[in-house]
Amino acid sequence: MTITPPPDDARHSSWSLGETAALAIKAARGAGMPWGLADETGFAVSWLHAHGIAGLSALCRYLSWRHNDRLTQWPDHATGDRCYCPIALGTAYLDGALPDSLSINNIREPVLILPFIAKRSGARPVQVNLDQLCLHVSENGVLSRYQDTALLLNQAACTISPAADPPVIPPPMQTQRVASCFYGCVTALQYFAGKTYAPATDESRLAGAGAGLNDND
Amino acid sequence: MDAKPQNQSAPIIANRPASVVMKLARMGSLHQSRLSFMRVLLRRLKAENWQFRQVEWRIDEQGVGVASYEAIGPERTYTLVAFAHDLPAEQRSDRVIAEAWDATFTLHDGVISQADIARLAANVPRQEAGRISGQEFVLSRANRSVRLFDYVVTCLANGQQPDLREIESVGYLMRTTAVYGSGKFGAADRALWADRPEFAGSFQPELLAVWLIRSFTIDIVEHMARQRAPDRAIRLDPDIRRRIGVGNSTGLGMAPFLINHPALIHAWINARETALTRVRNLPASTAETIDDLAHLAQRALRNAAEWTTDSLYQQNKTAGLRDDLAGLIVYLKKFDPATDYPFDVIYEWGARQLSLEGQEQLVSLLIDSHAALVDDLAATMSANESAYFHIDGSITIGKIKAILDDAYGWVKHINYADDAAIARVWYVSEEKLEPRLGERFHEPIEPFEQPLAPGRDAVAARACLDHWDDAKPIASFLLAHPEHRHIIRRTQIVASLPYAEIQDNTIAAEMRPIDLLRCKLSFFGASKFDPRSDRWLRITMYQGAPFPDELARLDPDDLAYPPLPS
Repeated sequence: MTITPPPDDARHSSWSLGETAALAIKAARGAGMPWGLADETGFAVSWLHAHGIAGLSALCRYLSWRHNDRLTQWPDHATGDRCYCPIALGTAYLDGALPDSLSINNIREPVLILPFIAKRSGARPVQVNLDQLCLHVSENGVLSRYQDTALLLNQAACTISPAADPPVIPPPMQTQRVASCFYGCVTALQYFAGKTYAPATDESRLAGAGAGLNDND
Repeated sequence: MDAKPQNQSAPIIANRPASVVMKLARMGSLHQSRLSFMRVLLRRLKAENWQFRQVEWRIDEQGVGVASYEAIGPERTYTLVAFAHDLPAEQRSDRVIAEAWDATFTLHDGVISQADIARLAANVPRQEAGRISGQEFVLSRANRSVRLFDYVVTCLANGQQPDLREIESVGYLMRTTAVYGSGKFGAADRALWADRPEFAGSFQPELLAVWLIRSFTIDIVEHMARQRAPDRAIRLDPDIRRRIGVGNSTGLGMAPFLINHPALIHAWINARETALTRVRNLPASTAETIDDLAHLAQRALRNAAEWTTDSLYQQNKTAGLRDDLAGLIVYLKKFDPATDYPFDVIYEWGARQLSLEGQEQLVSLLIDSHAALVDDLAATMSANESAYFHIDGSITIGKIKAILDDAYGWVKHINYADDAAIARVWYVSEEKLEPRLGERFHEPIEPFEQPLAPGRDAVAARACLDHWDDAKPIASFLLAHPEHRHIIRRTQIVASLPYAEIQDNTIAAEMRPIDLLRCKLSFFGASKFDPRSDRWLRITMYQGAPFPDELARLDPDDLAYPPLPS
């Protein structure tokens, strides 16, 4: 995969959350996730960007790493460099397959699990520790000054517990666009999304869309 | 007069069940009605006294340049920006793989600046290869009709009106080949404008853009005629002009939409079915109302008579529709207006006597003739899919099995072990990133299959669930079997929204994608469906509708069917 530098006009372009989610879904599927989990990936990335967190960056790194076949399926034990998928685990948490409070080692790109915790917690914040980093998470967003620091964690232990004392800081700003600086991430995810596209053949060009009749009349 | 049923107890007639409505053959026979989105839009624009004006017209003698049109509402203004191009004939193609068009468009939020026009001029003509911004809601393009465009320019340049028969046989000067909205190619997400009252319902920004595009297509033929013969050229006669709509070519790109938006499809179908049910539950009518219905049927017959297509499949259906409407007119003329529950009797007669085309035309006519009873339903025809996205993992496996057995009971009639039942694969082509339909057993495309066969997937999930304890929550199953997650999500949606699922095999050898397209396009308000194969078709939008300068004095709903000769 090579990433070409953005064209001049990309400096001015931004992405809608809808197309960002659609890209995340296709990229997750292209990287091998089942459709249902790919859809959850779209939700997670869209939620993170809407709440001011660079979900596309985390997803880019995660899908690149995921190629190495070091995923561990819950409830098998993850040790060493073997990790859990943050989307599969986040989804299981939101579904209620895991208890409210828990502690799990070796979650890859743990920021991607936060939208699922947020959704389950509703308006009442819960405390999420990613290794040493303490965040408070609710459906209103991630209440922490360290959310960008959390993005730096490739892999962490995640502990979810009731929030005894949520910090008094304003909820993060909600946004509706993904800024032009994510051009590189978008390009990288397009590479994975491309794996869901069937290469064209002469046959499919003609038959796949049902052409054949004159369309210039 | 309050047209609501006199009987305030529960309606005696219920909505038609999904097992009747959600079949592809019936969905492929739907007709526009007053709940269709183009008509909803024009009703609102008229009621709110929207104003329209051409703000910019910088088109040269070759027909190249930029134009803009403002739609000014009570709270906000929107601007359609049109870029007109000089397209060599050999590059003109309706296929989505085209890379150049006769005209390209965007709908901008607000009054537009020259800086924004310059930004859009660098992007809109490139369509999918360009980028629009959160200030734009729609991206579209159109090609000239080779049959009609030059003919009309020549007539007008010669000081003559074009022949109405020529106009009717095509129906449009330009054909759009895509109308993108809702966050596509950088456009604003639907969430940014969904709470604006002028866009309540579905696809209102897109259809506002198309209606303004229609004005542009008239302005450019008149402009070209003036360029050719400045002294002799005339403008189109308003009555002829009104018979010109906007064409549209639609292919497989639109087909998966119905499957990918289950809550929205439920909302659309449920509104239409509820409207029909309200009419059927009216306990009495008058001779005048029955006469009005017969008159409307005559106008629908005129519309059917003008409906031309090269498609043998549609020719047969349209011929049946003409017979049906002729029979309906005779039936209504003899109908006793004193009959109890008259519209239910008429509906039931149709269900026994008419083809699916005729039955669904009758449904539209029944809805159309009861404005006061049904118009409020238009506001219910939208949905927030994300509200139905999250799975309730606490539901027991036993309950999910029961929902699957009930909501997907129709799969019992399909044998998915049979090659013909799984002959097709929905996939996305690398070349143009558009949905395609291929042959599972003849093309190497199965690894790229899109999840657009809910029936097959429901059967697979149900078989897998057989080995699981009914008392356990579905969350435990999903953790072990993420490959069934997408269909369990649908199962939960269908449990509360019965019209959310098409109850037919969407990958069968004999499946016709145009049925899916027609269903969607009828809700838009399209008419004159003209299948060009089993996978793409042409339609006409806004044919007969008022133009902006006529909206204040004409009733858009009255113009949805052609007038009878006086």
